Amino acid sequence: MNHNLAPHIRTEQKSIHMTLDVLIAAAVLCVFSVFNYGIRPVYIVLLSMLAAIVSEALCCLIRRKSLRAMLDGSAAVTGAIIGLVMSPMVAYWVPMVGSAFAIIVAKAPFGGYGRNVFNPAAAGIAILSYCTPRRLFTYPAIGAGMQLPLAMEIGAEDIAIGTSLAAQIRSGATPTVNRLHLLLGDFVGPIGATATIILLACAAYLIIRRSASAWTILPYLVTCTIIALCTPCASLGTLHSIAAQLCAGYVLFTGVFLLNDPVTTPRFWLGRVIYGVLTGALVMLLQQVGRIEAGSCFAILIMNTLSPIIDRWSYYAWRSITRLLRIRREVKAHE
Amino acid sequence: MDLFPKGVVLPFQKGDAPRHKIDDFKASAAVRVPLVRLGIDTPVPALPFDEDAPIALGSVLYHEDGELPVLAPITGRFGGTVVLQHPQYGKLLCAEIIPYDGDEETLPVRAAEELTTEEILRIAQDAAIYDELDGIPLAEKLAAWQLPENDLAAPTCVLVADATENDVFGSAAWAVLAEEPEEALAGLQLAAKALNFTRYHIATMLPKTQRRALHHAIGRVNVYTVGDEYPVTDYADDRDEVFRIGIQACLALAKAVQRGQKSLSAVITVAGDGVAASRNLRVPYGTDVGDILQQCNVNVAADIVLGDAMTGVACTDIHTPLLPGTTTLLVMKPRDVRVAQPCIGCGRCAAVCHAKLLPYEIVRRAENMHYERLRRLTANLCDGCGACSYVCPSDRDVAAAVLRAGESTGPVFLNWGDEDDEP
Repeated sequence: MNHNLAPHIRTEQKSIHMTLDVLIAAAVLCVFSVFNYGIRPVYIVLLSMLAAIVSEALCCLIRRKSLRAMLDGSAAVTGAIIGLVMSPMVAYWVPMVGSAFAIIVAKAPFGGYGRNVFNPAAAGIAILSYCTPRRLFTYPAIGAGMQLPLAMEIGAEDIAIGTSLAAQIRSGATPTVNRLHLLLGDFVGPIGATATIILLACAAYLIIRRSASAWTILPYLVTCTIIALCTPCASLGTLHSIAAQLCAGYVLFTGVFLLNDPVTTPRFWLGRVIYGVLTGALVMLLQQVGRIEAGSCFAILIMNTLSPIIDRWSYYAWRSITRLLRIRREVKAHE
Repeated sequence: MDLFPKGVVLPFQKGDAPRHKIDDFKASAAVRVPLVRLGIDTPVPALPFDEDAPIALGSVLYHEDGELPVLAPITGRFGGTVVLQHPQYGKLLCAEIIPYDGDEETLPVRAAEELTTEEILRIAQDAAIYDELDGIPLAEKLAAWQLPENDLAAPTCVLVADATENDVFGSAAWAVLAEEPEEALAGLQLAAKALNFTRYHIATMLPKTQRRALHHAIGRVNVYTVGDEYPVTDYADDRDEVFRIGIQACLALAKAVQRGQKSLSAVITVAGDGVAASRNLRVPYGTDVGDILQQCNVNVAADIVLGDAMTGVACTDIHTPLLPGTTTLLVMKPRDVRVAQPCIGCGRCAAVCHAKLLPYEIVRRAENMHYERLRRLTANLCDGCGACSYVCPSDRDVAAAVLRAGESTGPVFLNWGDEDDEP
């Protein structure tokens, strides 16, 4: 920043505040999971963040960049997001590998934060879901006050295994979770992707703090809701069916965390709306026909490639439309 | 809660200055009045003064045909000519006047007479009135906008006296409007008459109590309150075509017509985090910035800015004369150097751009030398308001880069400067 150039004052809200806001939201989800599974999820998320930060430092050293570049906190956010979508009983090394992959392969080679084409967290989750789907999608049954053992690996024979909501819906069975449990996040699933109320509160917090844009979140949620309305679950009420589909897998979590990575989403408001709608449609499609629960990560990665084009085209389209409208108004006024 | 935030509202730090009386400033150091802007082969004018010749307030120092006369802003003696580099106007040849105490007469109000449009323009020309918004001579602006009598376009054209001061520190226009509202309105009416406009109003965003007093003084119909978003775009209703002049120029026009007074000074706000309390001063044109700072007890080690926080120009030499077009003198504490981070794509610059541009895309294209794409992005429409740089969370100088890109849409290869050689 050149001090001789106007403006001579700047806003107080910096990039670091945006990443801090996301970390605060992630911390709230983490605390929530402690009530369901004990302290193990916190370790998972912290180790995931640690792996991301160490990988970022390594990349900085390799690229001969000052370690100051890490102060934006983006690596910690990537690690936290990957940690939050893990199963509470996953082996500790799994999210660490995912985070390292996200930073070393999906972020650093493109030039680091601000220049990456793909959402690093989505890439990390996608590679894990492809390589170790069984570890990722085996969830413990949920019970109040349960304490998962802190061992490196937990075998399926050590604890009771539950069927996740997404798996129930995909198998065509009627979901067994009632409405109240859906709202409270009291059902089988990933560490941070089940707490519906908290996720919605996080979304509101990020929007109020301007760390996320309502232009993406709202169209995404509306699209998901409409598609859920069109593909009801058998023998469930309309509202119950919609809620179950939105809470299943990573649908809601994607809307709040993965969709709001500013680097890989369009920047123009109309582009954001289109991006939100298309991502919503793709997420629900992959949720219905895909073989794994992490379909939304692949949806995000696909949409990331289209994001620059959506951004530019939407801007040109919007400008042409407003220009036409203005000319029409002037012609009318002239007449 | 604002779900879809658009504009930017600046954190006002105007303090008590707009509510206080405007202080008269008496120059103690030499005042330097620009005679000509020096180009490569500009002829240097000869002045008909000897060294130490007495100079009366308002006397004509130099008058080039077709230009505004250069008037003496203070009483003093001629101290010779000097060439200096001004941060806003470049290389200037200035006449130096060393002040001494002279009698300043107050001119009586003349009986109102019916003036023709040409007469009003001539008075504005002779009184050397500059528009404080941009430093352009008022007569020149008015002559360019003038409509023929009874023109059909007149009902949609609005002449606006801009007293908004929608910037962080500046409050000169508020103070002027609070002090002499009737005369300012009279000046606006004269300007509207010179243009053959039927509609005019004073645009302002005064606080409620002051606004009420203003309504009381000049009538609610003549006051238009603008929104608090920066920069101001709603000077009138959507469909009207807005023509903007400064409130100080209006006041100067009224005084020139009613009293034959010349325009020799401007009201400026001395403010910023480097001064204890901001204040408004009536300062003769050409006054040394260092002289003002000294009389305001300001530490000269501070960063000085000519103009307000959003668009002001940094002033490295404190012996710079204050010229028309400046209404704020900012004194900022020296700040830590911040390093610009890469663009993270938050899109805030596009959301706050009142010209509806995509600043981030323009900067990216310019950085990658995609000049052919820049034309489509219409970077030349940028007026440099600085809102995009203000909101950028990565501390990037977006506005400066967009302005540069706007200039490089022409013959692109000729615009490759030395900057390309930098690592």
